[in-house]
Amino acid sequence: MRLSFLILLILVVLPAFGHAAQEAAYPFPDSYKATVYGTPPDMAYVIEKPVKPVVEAIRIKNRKVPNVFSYSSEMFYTTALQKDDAPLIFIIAGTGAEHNSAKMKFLTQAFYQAGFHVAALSSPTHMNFLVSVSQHASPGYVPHDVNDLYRVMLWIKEDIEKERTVTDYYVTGYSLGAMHTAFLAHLDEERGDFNFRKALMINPPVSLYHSVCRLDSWLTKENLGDQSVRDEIDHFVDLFSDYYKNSEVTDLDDNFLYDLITHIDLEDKDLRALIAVDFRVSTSAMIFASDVCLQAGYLVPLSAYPLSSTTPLMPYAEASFEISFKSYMDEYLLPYLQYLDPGLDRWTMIKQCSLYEISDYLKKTDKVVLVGNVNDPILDEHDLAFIGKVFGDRATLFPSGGHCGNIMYGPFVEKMLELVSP
Amino acid sequence: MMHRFSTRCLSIFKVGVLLAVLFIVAACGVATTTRIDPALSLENTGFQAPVSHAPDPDKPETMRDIEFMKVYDPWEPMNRSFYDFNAGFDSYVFLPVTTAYETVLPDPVRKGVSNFVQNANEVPTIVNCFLQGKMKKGAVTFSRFFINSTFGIFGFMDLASNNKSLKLQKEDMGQTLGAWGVGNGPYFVMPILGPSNVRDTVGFGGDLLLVLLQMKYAYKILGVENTRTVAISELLIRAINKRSNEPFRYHGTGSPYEYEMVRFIYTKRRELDIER
Repeated sequence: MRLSFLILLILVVLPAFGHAAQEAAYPFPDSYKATVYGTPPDMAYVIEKPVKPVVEAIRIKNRKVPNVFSYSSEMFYTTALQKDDAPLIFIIAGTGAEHNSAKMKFLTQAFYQAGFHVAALSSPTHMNFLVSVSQHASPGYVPHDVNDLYRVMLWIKEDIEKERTVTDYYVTGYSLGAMHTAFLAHLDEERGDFNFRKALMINPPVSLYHSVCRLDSWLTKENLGDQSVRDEIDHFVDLFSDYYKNSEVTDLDDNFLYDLITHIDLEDKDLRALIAVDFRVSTSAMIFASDVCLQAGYLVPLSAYPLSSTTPLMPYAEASFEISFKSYMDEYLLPYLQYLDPGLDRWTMIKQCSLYEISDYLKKTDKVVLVGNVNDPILDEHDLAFIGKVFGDRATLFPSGGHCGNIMYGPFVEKMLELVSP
Repeated sequence: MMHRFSTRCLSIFKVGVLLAVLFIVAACGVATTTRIDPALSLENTGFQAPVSHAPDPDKPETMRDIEFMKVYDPWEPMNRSFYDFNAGFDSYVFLPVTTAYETVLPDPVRKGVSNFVQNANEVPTIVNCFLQGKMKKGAVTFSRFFINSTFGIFGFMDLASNNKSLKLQKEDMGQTLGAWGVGNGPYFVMPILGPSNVRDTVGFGGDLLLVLLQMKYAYKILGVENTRTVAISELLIRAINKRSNEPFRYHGTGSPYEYEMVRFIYTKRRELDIER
């Protein structure tokens, strides 16, 4: 009796195992772990024949790029073009990320392999974009950032069309780049330059302001309790140092970083702080670059100019690291926008940087599709409800993956590609 | 006399051709298009932020979130100039030459060159291991050197690394000095070679001397005649090979604080390398 029960059990369970072996589930159900760890290298979507992407540059004539950023006076972007006619997809990076960051490199390869010409752009919040092509040099205000992107994309379109036939236009982006994607699709409806076939949002925030406030809060008492930010950061430095000291590595490559981050013992509180520190590193660079371009006296006192390539910058690194994104928006961005347009109020600014601004469009268009995760830590239940209500079945949400943690995970990538398949 | 003159002319000619090739390669780097849009001129708008977060030198140390990043760097303005120079040299000379090297030589050949240099460098590592009393590391490195020099055909193949207990070790004279208790001294950016400090620069000099002695000895055994030309070529190939294997790109962090980041990572890593 028992034996037959066992056999029955095995028969019932076996097919399930067989299926699981085919498509191993994403291994980190915890949202913060997923966000920090990413996808294990052996579970990543396979790029069969990597293409060698080309770095290109755009220079604006007579632009007054500050001397201290002379190395960043051209806007760099990546292209990977098919030999024959093909659709072109623009990829917009997330907050602070460059056109050839690890995620961008991966997306470039994945979309190229799927048959697209690819043009990969840095986020408007990345220093290079800000310094070299941004009109108002104060990122974070989505309408301005999207105008900047749109202008640059038109130039790239013009250049690529000289070399190849482009059959259709697509746009995609992850994180903040996903929000830009939706707004680009909306702007294109008005202007009609690209006539995007599809716009794919990967892990978007619903409201930039709300999402950055969550990230900011992870470096406050709310998350850290009595521990100071400095102690928490020193704790990370010690953990990383110990791991390095006791390992046998000689190269600090991606594999080492993956091993390091998955082997040291981090609580959720630490993981949250680490995500926030990473974000702060990006935004501190952005704030410094913006303040220097505008000479607005927010971080660098006017008496300190001119800055040159020999000026020590550590004092500014320290001071800018301590500025939250929320402070940047309230103390710098909003006053600047009001300086340009006295009629603008805070509430309007925040709304213009959220998907609520274009929700009517997003509800009715079938162009804009979304892929994300239910446990994305930059979203709360209101955001998820918004996504469900506005996108309906045009949104695919995976149960786990955190914020962009599963962006290289096989089934996630297959879904992305399926959503933009012509 | 005449003969010597003509060889000199020939070598000047060769250098000229090399430079011409370099500039052509350099020009092929990144294709730039220029766009005209007066709205993007970044003219001063006159806007002043109502709040200031200017650095406060009196802020207590315990309140400074990224205090860990500080490194003793009294020569910072000079170092930054060298950093800038190095970035320029890298993008106009070093990387174009490296790209040409990677284009001309197929992968397996470059791997062979890389293995050969790595094998030759085991010798200074062995010396430094023993100077620090790290007998086990020294023995591992000696075994690697022996296996790769013989079965690996003068080091062109790295067979030893197939054995997990014979992993590549790295010990240099800077680490030896550190192990003997010599402090970092001021941070120092070496022209062309990049981040260092006074101790590691002295150590680098020591390692270079070992390499030169080793080369001289090897040339003697092999009966190389024109030692000077061969030595210069070997050092150039070593430099190009090293750059080719180094993924670092100047201004690749996308941060205006790259100098500070590189300075910290270099210093911290050396500190840990000496400890382990």
